[in-house]
Amino acid sequence: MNAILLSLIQAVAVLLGITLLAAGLTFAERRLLGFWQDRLGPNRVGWQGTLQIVADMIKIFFKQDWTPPFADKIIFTAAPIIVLTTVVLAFAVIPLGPLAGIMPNLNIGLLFFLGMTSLSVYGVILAGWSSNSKFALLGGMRAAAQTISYEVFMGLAVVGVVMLTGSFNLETIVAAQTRVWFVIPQFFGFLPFLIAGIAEAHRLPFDLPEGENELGAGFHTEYSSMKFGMFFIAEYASIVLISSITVVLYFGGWHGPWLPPAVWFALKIGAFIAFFILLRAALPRPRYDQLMSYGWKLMLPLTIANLAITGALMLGGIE
Amino acid sequence: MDLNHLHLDVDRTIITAQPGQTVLEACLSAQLDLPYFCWHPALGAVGACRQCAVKLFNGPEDHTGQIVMACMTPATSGMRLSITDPATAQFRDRVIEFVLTNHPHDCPVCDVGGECHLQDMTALVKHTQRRYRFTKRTHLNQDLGPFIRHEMNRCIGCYRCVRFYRDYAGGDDFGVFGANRNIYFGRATPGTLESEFAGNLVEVCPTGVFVDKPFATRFRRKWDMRATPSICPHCAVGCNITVQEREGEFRRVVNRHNAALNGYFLCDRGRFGIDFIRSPARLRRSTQRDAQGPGTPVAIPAATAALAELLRTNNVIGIGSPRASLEANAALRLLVGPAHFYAGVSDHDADIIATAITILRDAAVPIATPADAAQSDAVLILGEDPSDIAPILALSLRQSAQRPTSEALAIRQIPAWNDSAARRSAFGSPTPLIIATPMSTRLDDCATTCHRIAPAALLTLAAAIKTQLEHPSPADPTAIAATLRRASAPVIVVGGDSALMRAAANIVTTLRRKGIAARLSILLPEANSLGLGLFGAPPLSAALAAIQTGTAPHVIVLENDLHRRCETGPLEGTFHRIASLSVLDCIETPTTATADLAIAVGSFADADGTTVNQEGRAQRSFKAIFSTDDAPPSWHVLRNAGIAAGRLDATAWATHRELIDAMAANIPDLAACRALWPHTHDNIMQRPATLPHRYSSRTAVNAAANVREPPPFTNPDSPLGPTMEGLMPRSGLMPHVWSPGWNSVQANLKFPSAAEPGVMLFPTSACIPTELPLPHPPPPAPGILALPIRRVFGSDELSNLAQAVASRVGGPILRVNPADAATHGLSAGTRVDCTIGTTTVRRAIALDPAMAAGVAGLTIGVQGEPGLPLPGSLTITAIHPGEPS
Amino acid sequence: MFITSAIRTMWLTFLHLFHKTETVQYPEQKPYLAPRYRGRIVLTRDPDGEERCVSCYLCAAVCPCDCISLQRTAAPGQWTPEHFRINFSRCIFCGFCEEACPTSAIQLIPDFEMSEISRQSLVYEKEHLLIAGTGKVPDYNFYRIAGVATAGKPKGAGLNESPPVDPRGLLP
Repeated sequence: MNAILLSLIQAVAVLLGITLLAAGLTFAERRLLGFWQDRLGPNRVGWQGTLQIVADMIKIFFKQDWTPPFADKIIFTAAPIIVLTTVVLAFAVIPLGPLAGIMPNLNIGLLFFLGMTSLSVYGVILAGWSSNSKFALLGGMRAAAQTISYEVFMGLAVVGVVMLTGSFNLETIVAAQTRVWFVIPQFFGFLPFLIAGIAEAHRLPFDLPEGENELGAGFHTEYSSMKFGMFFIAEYASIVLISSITVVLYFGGWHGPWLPPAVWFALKIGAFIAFFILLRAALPRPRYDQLMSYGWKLMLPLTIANLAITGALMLGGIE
Repeated sequence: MDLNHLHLDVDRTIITAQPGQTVLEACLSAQLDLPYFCWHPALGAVGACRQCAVKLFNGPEDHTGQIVMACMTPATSGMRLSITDPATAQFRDRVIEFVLTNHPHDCPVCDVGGECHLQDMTALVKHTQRRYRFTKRTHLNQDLGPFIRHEMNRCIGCYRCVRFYRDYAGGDDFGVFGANRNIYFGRATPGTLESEFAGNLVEVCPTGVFVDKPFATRFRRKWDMRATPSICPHCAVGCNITVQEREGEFRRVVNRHNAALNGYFLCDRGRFGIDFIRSPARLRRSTQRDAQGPGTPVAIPAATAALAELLRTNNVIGIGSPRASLEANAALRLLVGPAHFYAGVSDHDADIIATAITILRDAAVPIATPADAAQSDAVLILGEDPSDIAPILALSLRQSAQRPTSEALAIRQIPAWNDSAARRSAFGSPTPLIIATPMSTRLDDCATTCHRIAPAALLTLAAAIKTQLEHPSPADPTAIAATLRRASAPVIVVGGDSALMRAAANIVTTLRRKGIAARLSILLPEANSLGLGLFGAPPLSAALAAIQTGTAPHVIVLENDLHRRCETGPLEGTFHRIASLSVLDCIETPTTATADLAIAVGSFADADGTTVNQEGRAQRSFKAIFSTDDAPPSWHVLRNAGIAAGRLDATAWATHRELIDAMAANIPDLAACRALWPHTHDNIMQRPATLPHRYSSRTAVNAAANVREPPPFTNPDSPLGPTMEGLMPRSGLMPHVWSPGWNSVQANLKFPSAAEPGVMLFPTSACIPTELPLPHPPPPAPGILALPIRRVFGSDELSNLAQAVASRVGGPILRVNPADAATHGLSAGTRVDCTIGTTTVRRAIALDPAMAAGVAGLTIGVQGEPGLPLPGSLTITAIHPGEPS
Repeated sequence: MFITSAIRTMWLTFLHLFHKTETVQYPEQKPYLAPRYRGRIVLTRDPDGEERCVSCYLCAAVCPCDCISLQRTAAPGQWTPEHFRINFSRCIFCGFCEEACPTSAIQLIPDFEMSEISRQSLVYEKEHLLIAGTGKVPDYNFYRIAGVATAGKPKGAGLNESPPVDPRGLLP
């Protein structure tokens, strides 16, 4: 009974934490983008703009929640829920520290994560399709093609880590990195994984499903108010998710000297989040054909080569 | 290859031209841009401005060429020309530069700015830089009367004004003074321009020397005004006009080219009389007599309900009007029933109209358009002076008289466009213009022969001409028959008397039998006289008789002032007996003042309507003025009242089209009206747009009242689009005559055959017309025979209300010949009271030495006077010699 | 190639974290507005203190959002506008009206602080637009150059004008 209550509390805490973190990120991103563009970013609401999130939340909650008359109402409503739910569910398997997290030692933890990220694209496709508008549908189609392409080598990239540890259990994977972080042996697994992660989260420069200069706002063109808010929060939650899983798989999870594990974990995640934002500040969006050719012609061969070399080295006895 | 067309090579492009055209006309018709100033299609070419220079090459091997003036070079087949040649382009640029050395920096305050031919031509030759650094010549302006403002500084010396005013319109109080730098176009002394065609100077002048004075009081640029094709309501010629409006307010009238009717010109009554729309005498509010007394304002729905209340009784008679459209008359006739519908015209007018219909429809006498009149080689005017009744017809007749016949030109090898040479060659061999009227006319100055004959003798003369034509005898004192017989296309103009009209028709019939393509032109009093006549309704006197005999009826009067139609005595005597008087009108009249129910309806510019002119030409005019508090068209009010009273189905005449169909079903003669604009596109983008493409201020014009923009106007009755959206057609129904780079009115020279001619209800057939029996002449009346004098300014009800026209109205006169005046002890200027019938009116004596004896002319249509039973016998009851005239 | 340029771009972008920000903290800090800044529209007067606007309608015609409405006065020989209205809720401050104005009457000035709660308050009439001075063009007086006669200037009294000709004179 206590265990259930504990995990429930833990789950709620993580859920709230994620949501708040995602909300906070919307502010952090705007501030950082501001600085990187020699601006200030939002700095008016509260001290240094810290209450901007509150203002935004009030605004988004009070916006008219409009469902277009031409949309498929049920799916239109379900799509943002699917997206947010899958992203948040994936957090269940992330080890936040030693013995911290909701269910970090799930023996298929990594597969669960991959499964959830794959599911989240359904939300995007359904949003695009149920909106019954050209731009939204095109955005959804782009999301489908992009996610399928990038998932292929995302899965292949993490196989290197799995081969080294022999486990899908994320706690085991973290534990295996006490001596050396997997980013060193698995650098060519890390690189495709990170890129695929960005693509999965539809972050710049891979935000072609939203592609506002050609598609309005892509799959969420027709969304407003909190339905849009859910997409928005899900995007930032998935940034946190991808950062966390990258840290867990390649950067030793919560390991680190002197400081408490949770702090290490937070620092590492923070660095990745900042990196994601820097990407947005610095890089232009590729063309769609370029996106596809990176995925299939560059990243896929790279991961397969990485896999082959890792396998060969393991067979050769070098660990 | 088409042998009827010429083919010219202009800058390696082959264009086609009609034989007899000049190179300039050919280039403009082919939509090529060639600047010019002094040329005008109606005035011909004189080659004065040197602006239309082109290079002419003598054959394919000639690379040097020579600069010629396009307007003075006849187009010939195989000609090789260049407009773009650098030498000619520089030549034209220098001409513009010279023209502009003295042109003032006035464009922002010039009323012609934005539709200025000089601006267009300057832009066309790409002249941008003023190099002349010396002082500009200036001129003092003259006060040219209420219609035209003079701004002589702007003159470029093209001579078009004086060529139009003196040579074309026959005016002699305007001319050119001085020479070269001192040149001055104006009057010898400042004063009102006397010609009734002076308003055309506004359009003839290529720049802003002559500007429209009434328009200047509510000035707008051309690009800011809605333009709607319309028909002039002031006389029976039915000239085509364009009504321009802005913000629900009438602004001005400009000419709309119709080759058969008015061509490029309008008379001043048409151009400035339509200002009556802005008159304070407009009936703005419907009023009803109730317990509080007469004149209590009511809204249109309440007024319609009150009208419906009357229509529920079975005792209603309707009185139509010759100034209301066919639609309004038809609606009233359908509502009250043919047996209760009366034409609101006097017996004399009804007689004339019925005779005109007999001549046109039953006898099938070919009718002359003003264009035919201008081309005719002999003209006989019988009975009335067309200058006052149908000014544009008179202008056309003047062209026939002032220019030699085409045969004479052909013999002398002078092309018709060579205006100066053609006119000079007319001095020795004028085209015959024979005038046989009781009074002198304003065409006398260009007539070859004038006969001043009393009406009874006129009939004898007409009969004699016919006899002479049939049996030529050497004893022909007037030689009119011989003149007509020599002509190939004579035109006979007749008006004023039905017997004379029949006799004139018989002359045409006789000429036709001889194989001479003679035509008749009938002068009718009002814009829709013939249209009203086609309803076959009895005249006003019959209505009064019906009121006297039956039980007291409810009377509905449609856009008619009965006091102008009938003497006061009989009218008031009868109207004591009626149950109620309802009047639908757009102006305040004595009739609306006495009405129990006066309903303010739209004028001709507020409604879609059809009128039939004196040739039997049905023409549509369209709703031209749009505002949120529009007065509804009469037929809308009548329809709504009819539906409310149960006299009509709830769906009756939902559209203008259905009303025309219902009218055509009842009156077969009007069935051809259905051919006028049968299609009104549902899609507004397929309709010709009445707002110009640079219509400005749309988001600010209503912002003072409400910053939110109101929805655009709609008009389901019209084939025109009431917004900026839509087509800009280049033929047919063209609200805007505009061509890229040609913003001035001269753009219509690029569409010479684009106008909409209307529908002839009685098309000329090839068969010989029927001869008509002549009635027995009435016994001579005792005393002086008074004949009506209609004047351009003053005799027309509507135009009198226009402020500018009202200031041109002269005092009412009684015109007698000096001998008669001496008998009665009268001298010029003496004021007399004359009694006609039971009415006594005051007139000033005017002496006309040429006048037939025993006849007096009496101006009619004086504001506030009742209708006079003219022609009739007149007695002078009092003389007031002491009063100032 | 792509990778190195991408990394270089990201590094350079990152370095901007340590650059000075360009943001001006309006309204505490007021920005510098050039004299030719295209802000609020005014109607100026000529050096003699008379209204410059001659109601030529060119500003209304050139306005891309059709937000200028005026009407020339009915009095003959006087060209000042009877009403002159700008709907600033539509105005895009493009300055075309100023360029089109032949008398330098309409001018855009460096003032943009004209927000209102209601759109209706953004409709400016002539009395709101007319200022007392000559604006950016101190000397220009259209009527001294134009050929029309005005109350203080008979024919021939303008700049570069000869006295009126005598049409009855016989000299060439």
